Amino acid sequence: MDKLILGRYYPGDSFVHRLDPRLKLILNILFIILIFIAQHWPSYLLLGVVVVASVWASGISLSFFLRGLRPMLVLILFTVGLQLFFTSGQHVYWQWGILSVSQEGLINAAYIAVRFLLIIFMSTLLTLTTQPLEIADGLEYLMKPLKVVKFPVNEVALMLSIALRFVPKLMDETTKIMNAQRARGVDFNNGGLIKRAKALLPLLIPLMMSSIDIASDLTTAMISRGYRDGEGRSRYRILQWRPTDTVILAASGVLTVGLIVLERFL
Amino acid sequence: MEPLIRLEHLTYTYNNSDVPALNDVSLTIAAGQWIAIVGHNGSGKSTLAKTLNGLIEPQQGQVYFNGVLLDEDSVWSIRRKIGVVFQSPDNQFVGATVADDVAFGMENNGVPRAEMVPRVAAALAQVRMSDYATHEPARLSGGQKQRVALAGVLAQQPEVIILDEATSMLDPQGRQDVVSLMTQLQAAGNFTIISITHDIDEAALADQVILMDDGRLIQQGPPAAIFNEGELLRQHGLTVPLSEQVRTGLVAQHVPLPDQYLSEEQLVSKLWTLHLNK
Repeated sequence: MDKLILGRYYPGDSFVHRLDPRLKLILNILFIILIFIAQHWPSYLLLGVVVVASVWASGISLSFFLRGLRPMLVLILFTVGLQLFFTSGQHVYWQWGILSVSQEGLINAAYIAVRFLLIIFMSTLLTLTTQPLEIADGLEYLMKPLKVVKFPVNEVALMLSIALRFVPKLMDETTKIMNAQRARGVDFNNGGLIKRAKALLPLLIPLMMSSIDIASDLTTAMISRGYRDGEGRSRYRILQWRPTDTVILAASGVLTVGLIVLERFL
Repeated sequence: MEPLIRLEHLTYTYNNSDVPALNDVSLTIAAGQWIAIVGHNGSGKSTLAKTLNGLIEPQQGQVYFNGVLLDEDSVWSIRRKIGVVFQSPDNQFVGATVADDVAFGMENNGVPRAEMVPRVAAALAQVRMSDYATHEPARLSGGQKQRVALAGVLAQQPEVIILDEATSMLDPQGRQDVVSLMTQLQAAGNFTIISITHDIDEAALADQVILMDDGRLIQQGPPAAIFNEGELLRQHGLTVPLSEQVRTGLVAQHVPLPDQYLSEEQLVSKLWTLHLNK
């Protein structure tokens, strides 16, 4: 459960926790765009300050973020390595066959590393401070314009929220089946890759069967309770856009303009 | 007077089966009653319940609700008046939190939010789950989940509540909670309760018991009349209620007890007043 990206909500009541999930989603997208507009170190410094300030405002300790970084570490090292060794440049410090370390390569690698770090910190902040359900709600609102092209926004949103609701249930189910198969002598932890993959088969098939059973029961229950489709439904859960959200949105606008101006002068 | 529910010659066979799950079933249910449908597994009792709100369309026969024939046009308005609590506490929980789940049925019917909020609160209070409104289903016990499911049904203000083996997966405490809740609701008066069960002690609480086997209606009558015929129950794969077993045993030992079914309470009071009759 701990490794699950979606389930990594850190309960709290900080300033960041209380922001509207729609705002947080928009700001995350905006932040990624800003990262790619920024081409110079002062701009990165500015964005870095924004990230540090946001983390501080969330009241979550830095170690949590570092833990979120761990699964991404391989990807970061790989990309940084590619930049480092395969960028050709004029000042070559070290060369071995097609691999070379140049000044340009070093700079590019550093840029990439900083971009990765900033983006990961910001998106981790989103998942740590926003309940999965709020994210689903926020996405539903933001996807509303897609209704014009007949995209089933309400259905997808309900699907997402049901999927979230059934994560713990399916975890339980998995543990149950694993134990049942262990009792029958299946070894999930030893042996080579192929042997272990084969051991997963008696886990996946019963899990699939029970998921289908659950889905069928759930369908019956939903129809009995009058569910037809996304149209004509009212909403119990609502998102509340507060004045603070507007202030933060305006501040982000100012930051964007500031960054563009800064880039112009550098 | 038109009964609340009238079934006429219902016959239904599942796709993958040769034997009909319902075989020419006709019965009527009056408003305000507590009906228990009993029968062993595969006797057709759950299938019968599913025909009531149109989850299953019988190949033959008609369902009337308040005199209205259940068909494609009327099915959604009839469903609104029939709430169902199903067997598995987990697999009927749609909402991500307790309050969300209770609101789900109202959302489907387009109830405005201003009306939904007090109705959710009232329904949760009725099942004594108000403290859990923001909890996730994973953290509730089976009995608590079934009470939430019941709150979801109550919030829709139905006329009929169907309990489709709603207590069969619960521990004794959870079962007791749900059953006592049903007794209270019944006493308050506004509902017709149809409880599908193979727990004969639960059926003893009903006004009317419907005994089913092989998709047929074997007998319909008050619990006393049905349980009196212990042989009939055994023949159709059910056990005789404990109080009835004790009574028959004592009568065989020449203890002077009345020759008819007694509820547990009645039996106890007859026993402790026995010496007065001497």
